[in-house]
Amino acid sequence: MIPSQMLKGTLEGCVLAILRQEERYGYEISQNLECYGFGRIPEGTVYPLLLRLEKRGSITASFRASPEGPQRKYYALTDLGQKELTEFFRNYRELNRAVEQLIEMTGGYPHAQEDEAAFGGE
Amino acid sequence: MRKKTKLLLEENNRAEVALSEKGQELLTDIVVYLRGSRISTWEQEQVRRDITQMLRDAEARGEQAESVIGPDLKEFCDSIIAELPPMPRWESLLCALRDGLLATAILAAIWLGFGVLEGLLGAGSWPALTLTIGQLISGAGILLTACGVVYWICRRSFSVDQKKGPWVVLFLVLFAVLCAGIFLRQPVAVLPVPAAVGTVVGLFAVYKLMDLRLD
Repeated sequence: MIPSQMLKGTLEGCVLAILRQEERYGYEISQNLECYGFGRIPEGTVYPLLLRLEKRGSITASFRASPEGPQRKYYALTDLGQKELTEFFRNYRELNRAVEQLIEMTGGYPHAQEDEAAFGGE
Repeated sequence: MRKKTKLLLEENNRAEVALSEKGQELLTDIVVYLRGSRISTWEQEQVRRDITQMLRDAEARGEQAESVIGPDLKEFCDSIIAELPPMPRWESLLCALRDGLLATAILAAIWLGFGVLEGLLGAGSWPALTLTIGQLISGAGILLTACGVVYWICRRSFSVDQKKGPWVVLFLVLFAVLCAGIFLRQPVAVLPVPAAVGTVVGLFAVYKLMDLRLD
């Protein structure tokens, strides 16, 4: 389970990434995040984030009928959202590279050290 | 309230009925909490529509509302409020003034009704109506108490404890207001009935005009 503080900074970019393939509704986004290994993130956590993205113009929303009955609000990426996603990917790659480098230069991942100790560094 | 907001409000009222009793209760708590915020009624109703759909969808899947919203309803509402633009201060003031005008018009209509009744029974200063200092104080007291009660209910919509203290204070305040209305009988103004009717109609007309342009 990823700690919520760690998730906070990246969740917005991850939602944009999910929407780049096709438009989705809130529950689907929440399900997708779970499938990708983010753990269970309730729709109620994703909704304020979607509101923020919609207000900023990064995504648009449209209503469509669902087979279950109530209308669903589908979200789609806008051009601004696409630009923000590209920026997110660039920033994330930079952060990831820096953190990976830091971990490597300070002794690697703990479990990797344990593995080395167990297998005699092979 | 603008027409588009009124239509959405009516649509939401209809959609809410399709929820289970528990879902409706939860939605009411959320909406009451949002009503106490500085976001416009239009924004509040849009959020209400989204949450109603979220809950209806969850119920159709056989899920509990809490599993969709998350364990902390107040945190959920606060995070929504944080994402929506607050109304400009001048607009909030105008909305408060509009609501105050409606309440004043209703109180004035009640005062007028009692004044006419007194006249028909041969009491009072008929054909003019006397406004006393006690009636003014009790009117202002009722308005302020009503504002306080609404604010208190909105802020505590997720609270489960049933404190009796605030209700005792409310009872005492209303008792004091009632006493002021009965015992302080010095006249402030004497109005002919047509002028009093004109004042009530005027207050209501200004309220209506403001209501058509706000929210």
